[in-house]
Amino acid sequence: MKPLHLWAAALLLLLAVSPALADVAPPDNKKAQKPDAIRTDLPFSHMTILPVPGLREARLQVPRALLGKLPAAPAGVAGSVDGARPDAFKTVSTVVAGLFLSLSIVLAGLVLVRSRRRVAGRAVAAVLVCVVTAAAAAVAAYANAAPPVGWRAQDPGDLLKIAPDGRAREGHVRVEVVEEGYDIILLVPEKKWKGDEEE
Amino acid sequence: MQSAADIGPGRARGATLTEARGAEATATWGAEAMTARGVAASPPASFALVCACVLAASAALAGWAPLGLSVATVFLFAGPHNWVELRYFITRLPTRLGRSRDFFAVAAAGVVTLTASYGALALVANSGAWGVDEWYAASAVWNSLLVAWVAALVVMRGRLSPRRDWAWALPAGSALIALNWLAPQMLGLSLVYLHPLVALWFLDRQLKRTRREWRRAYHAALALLPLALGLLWWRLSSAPPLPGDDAITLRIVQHAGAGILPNVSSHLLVSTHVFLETLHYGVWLVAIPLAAGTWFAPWRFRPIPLVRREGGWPRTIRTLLVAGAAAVVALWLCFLADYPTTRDVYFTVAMAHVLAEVPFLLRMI
Repeated sequence: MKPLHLWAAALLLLLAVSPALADVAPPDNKKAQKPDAIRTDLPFSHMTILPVPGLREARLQVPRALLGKLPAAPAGVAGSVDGARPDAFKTVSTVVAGLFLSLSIVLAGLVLVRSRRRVAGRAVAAVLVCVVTAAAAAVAAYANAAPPVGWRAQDPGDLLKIAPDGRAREGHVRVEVVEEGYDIILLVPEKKWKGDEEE
Repeated sequence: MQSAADIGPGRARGATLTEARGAEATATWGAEAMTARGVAASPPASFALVCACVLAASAALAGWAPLGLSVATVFLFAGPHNWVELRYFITRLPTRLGRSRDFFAVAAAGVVTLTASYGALALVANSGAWGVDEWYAASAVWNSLLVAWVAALVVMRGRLSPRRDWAWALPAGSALIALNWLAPQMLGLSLVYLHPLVALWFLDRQLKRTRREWRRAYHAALALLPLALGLLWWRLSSAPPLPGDDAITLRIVQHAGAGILPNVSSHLLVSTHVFLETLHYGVWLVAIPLAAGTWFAPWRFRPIPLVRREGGWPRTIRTLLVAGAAAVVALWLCFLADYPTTRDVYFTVAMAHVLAEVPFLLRMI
């Protein structure tokens, strides 16, 4: 075997081995969501709390456009076809994916080694592709660019001032689905309604 | 025509090889190339202008009325474009298969097996007999078979030519199968969006053979495609979901992948898909027949090598094409009777033409 082939095979082996963490326990996906977790799986919207003079009941207005974005059924329920893999399928799919990924690396090595023409050029091209892919992945993972709107933490704005003392504010609301607009609006009576007052 | 002596010793060997390899292909394409030359040549600039106008109009319509455009285009063009593809592929079939016999055997076996199993999967899915685990596993297995079939065809095609070494298809196919097992629905969805683009590749290859002077103009018009897609995505990325919960709307929205990508606007998804589908139909129904010279009289079967040449099957081919035309009329009637069900059945059976495009495109590369 030519030295170049040996180096290419060794490099491929190193690349394949380096990310393997066989002695590390798999992540515990059943853990409860931390409070500071950003739930990118949920839709987001702007919310306004609006005091309305003369209003008798508090009313929460939810735009129908937002309702349409809510998932109809949780992932893993029969009939749902979203991208999330169901739990039972996950184990099998990970094993099969790993097998084919290994096969892919082995075949790539074989193609590289058995190729009789432009081996050096191909080896350089393969290394370049690996380096560029790794660099792109590193940039995506560590770059300072802000993530897309749906993936970054939503700014609560003035809503922080509703409960500055940390105490919950509660009460009953009518929930209304409105056809227009994209904001959730909580209409709140300006003052407590008394029975003898005219609305 | 240049002889090997005219082009010097360095290129002579290549030219001889090319001629030897292309002899079979020339026999197939010759008839249509002659017909194409018979068609009045349009200036390339006009071709590019028409392409750009169609592209812009399709994008505007798809963004403005995606549901209406989807219903109309599938009703009007789905059947005819399949017939035109059938006629085109038959024209591309060589009279003598020669060294390509194994390639076409594997291609035909794959088209039949994968289409049949795809239909069976759809039937089982509708029966509700499977849970989500079984459905995911079945989708992953079908996708794996599809990728393995395509990789095998790529390698076989590469072996038919001494200039090509397409063994890279094996590791690439294995990597794709691995990714497919991590997200089986994504491969199906990418097929939905990539299939319309294959028509643009076919057109490019056809132009290279019969209307070489149009090719540069076509490439210039093609550069507008990412621009149109970018505009659509920019305008519709935060558009509200498409209204309506009727059977037709639900099918169109699901087909565009709204169930798989819940965080992406369904308006954006449907518009993108309908835009690409409209281009796909336009390319198959107008551009490719125009480039191949069959647009003015597609019912004339005489230029088809398998009809014209000795050793062909003129009666079988004529019967097949006439039956195909009858099937197009039947499809229109079924659409009129029950559009949602016919749409479901059509998109299941239409997998055959999606698959058939693979070997014929490989033959043209």
